Amino acid sequence: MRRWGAGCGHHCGEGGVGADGESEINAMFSKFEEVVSQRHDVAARYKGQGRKIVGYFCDYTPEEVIHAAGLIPVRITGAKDQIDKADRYLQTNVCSFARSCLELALRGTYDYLDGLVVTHTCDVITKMYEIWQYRLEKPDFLHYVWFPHNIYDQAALQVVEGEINRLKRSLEEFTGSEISDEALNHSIEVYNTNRRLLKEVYECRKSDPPKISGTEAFTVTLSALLMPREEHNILLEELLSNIEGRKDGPQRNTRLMIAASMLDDVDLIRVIEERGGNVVSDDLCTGSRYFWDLVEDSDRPPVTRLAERYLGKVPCPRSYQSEEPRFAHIKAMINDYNAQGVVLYILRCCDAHLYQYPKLQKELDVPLLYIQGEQTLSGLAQITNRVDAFLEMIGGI
Amino acid sequence: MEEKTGGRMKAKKHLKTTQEASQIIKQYYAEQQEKAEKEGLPVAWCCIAAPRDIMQALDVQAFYPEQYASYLASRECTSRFIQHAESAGYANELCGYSRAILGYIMDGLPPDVPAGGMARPDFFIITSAVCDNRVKWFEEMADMFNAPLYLMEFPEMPPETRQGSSSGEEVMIMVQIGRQDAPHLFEYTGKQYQGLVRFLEEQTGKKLDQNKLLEISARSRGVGKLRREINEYRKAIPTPMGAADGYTAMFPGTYLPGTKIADEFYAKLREEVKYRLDNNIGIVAEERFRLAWSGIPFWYNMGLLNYFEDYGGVVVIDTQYGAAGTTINTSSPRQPRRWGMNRMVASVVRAVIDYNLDGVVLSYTPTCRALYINQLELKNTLEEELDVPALLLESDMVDPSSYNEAETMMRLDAFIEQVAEKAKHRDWLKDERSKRL
Repeated sequence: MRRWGAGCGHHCGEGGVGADGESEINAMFSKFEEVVSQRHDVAARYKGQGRKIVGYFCDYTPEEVIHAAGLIPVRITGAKDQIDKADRYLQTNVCSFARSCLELALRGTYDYLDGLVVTHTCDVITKMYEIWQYRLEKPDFLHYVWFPHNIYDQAALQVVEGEINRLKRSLEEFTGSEISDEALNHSIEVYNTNRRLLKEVYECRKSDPPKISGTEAFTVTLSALLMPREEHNILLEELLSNIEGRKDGPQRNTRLMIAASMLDDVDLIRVIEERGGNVVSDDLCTGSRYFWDLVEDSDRPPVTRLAERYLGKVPCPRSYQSEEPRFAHIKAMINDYNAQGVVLYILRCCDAHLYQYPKLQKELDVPLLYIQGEQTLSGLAQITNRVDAFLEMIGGI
Repeated sequence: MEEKTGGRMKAKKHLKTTQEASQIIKQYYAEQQEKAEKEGLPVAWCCIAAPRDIMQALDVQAFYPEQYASYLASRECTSRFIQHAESAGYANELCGYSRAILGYIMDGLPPDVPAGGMARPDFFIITSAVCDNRVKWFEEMADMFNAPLYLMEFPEMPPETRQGSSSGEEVMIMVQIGRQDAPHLFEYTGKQYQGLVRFLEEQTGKKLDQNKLLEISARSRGVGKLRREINEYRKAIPTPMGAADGYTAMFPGTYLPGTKIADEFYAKLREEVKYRLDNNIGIVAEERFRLAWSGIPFWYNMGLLNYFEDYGGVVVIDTQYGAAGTTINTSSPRQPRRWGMNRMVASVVRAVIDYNLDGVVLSYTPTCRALYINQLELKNTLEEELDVPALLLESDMVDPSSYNEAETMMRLDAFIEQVAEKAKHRDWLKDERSKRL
């Protein structure tokens, strides 16, 4: 097993790789890319192999439990397509991410799901569970996990343990087989390995120029949410052993960090990089915030360790007293990766992020570009102009 | 303070007793401020769902920012505060109540406001019931005052099956706390109450007097009973009291239950409503159609509730604060196959059956996630299950700049036509006379 150290270890050191090495790396990235761009086909393919797929919302969902039940957890994401069917249930000014997910479900895109787990994070995601449960006939297995706002309160641990155990029982009933502590410990190990490897990938973004682009890094992370974790780990191992001495990586450019309320597609980062920025780090629930914290290695029961991990992870701003740890994470993502500016992309009506915005704006000592987000990226031309102006402004500092 | 709103209308009250409510509100603010100032009693800013009886038992002077925001809006005084909050970076998609009050704080709690404003808080009480964003809003406020906050968690659960909300219970609350298969959630909720008592005892330096609490709770239940009794009378055709009076009458029951003031107010109101019922005195000369208002009203434009009266329509009940939808009318021929995706939807469906309603106005307040996201499903459910028309009216609850008068009127007129026509054929009413109206 890899050990995570302060440095980037042997993977990101300088070395020589010939032309073949370069094409090998690009071939690896295209594997991650395929998972991201063909996510539903990929899931359906696993289903075709007899695997069962469970969709879930939000990075507070204890995925390891789903994994330990022998199922493949995949994150529910939206698309950039126009909304049509979901208009019947959610007005146009409701969170565009939620609308998009519901649209896909109503169209049958998610028909491959065998189960759905929704964790209580915000009002909108909770209602998504209710609408999905009431209006859709699929999938058979539905489960709601309540998660406290008061994550640092002493009473939270017990209630989250209770909810993890309830999810476990519910999955056991669904699959007809027990989830042993051994299986849970194994799943924790698989996920922890994934987290360590992803951190190594991020380590490769610290150099100037970074070894891998923001588009590539986000593609790698996002694909983790969409495929079996063991296989993702193998791909990551391969990538990391070949990244050494990559020569056709990104050029030196203005270094940016991206923070967003919900980002399930690489296009925004791609656009920023096409305009001449290097996205070097992030605060995303589909990015660093998702994998940054490991489940602690200890003798305590796996359910307790999981509860502690999800309560103690880099928080979503929806949680009470999340400001300090979240801002600390954002600052670390700026300082450790030498970001010169931050692009903040908040989906319209994402309240938790919007309430923290005025303070975040004051706290940061690098320039901040706030973009009001929309799932379909309909205002892309305007975003491009603003990114240009932002890059020019930073370049002129 | 003068502000332009355009097309604003004040609600017209039809009853005498409800006209006393505004004096009660003013008195409440004056007394609380005085007790805080002169007697040094601790001041709490609380959300609506905070347990009032415990606070009353510990002499906490409670103010409710949501209520105060609606009060400011009803006096056309929110715009300057909303502008202040927005210029400080609080996005205009955020909860209207929160923008108004954050701006009011940033203005330094100015004294030139209706009812003198809220006294400076010593601490905050917030629950996570119904709305997740309030937690963030209260966190912001507590931070601005550098004051302690107690967060009381309510683990709400969605319905357990694909059938949505069940109607099997006698009395329904709008949300489901905990669940049979999750005993840890009940235990946790219990701890939240104990934590609140500890917090309040710490803040007030007093010990909770259990006898005093029991007394207040009993009185509070008495007020609840009176309010339900009044609601029973409102089911009659013609209704003796509508929502325009109902909204005004909600303050003592919502904010002062367990007090003599509330007791007396509702006893008097019951007498008046009963008298009107016995003497067949309705809100309009000839009641032609009956509506519910569902969701938060537009507090700066409460006159909309009276708009239907010229056409023989009455908004009989509000389903958000009016405690409607708590009983199930099983004798009505109108029974849905399913009650809707959650309890909030079900409570409106129940109210429609129970109060003999012909249509529902669904206020769609885009900055209120907790409520607005139910509204389309409510419209779907009412149409599918009961063939009852519903009108979605969009505007913020306290921000008059969001209100579009011309469009609202046009849509109201079309809706009135539709509902009035449908109400001519009430095949679901047993009473032949009412059917024909």
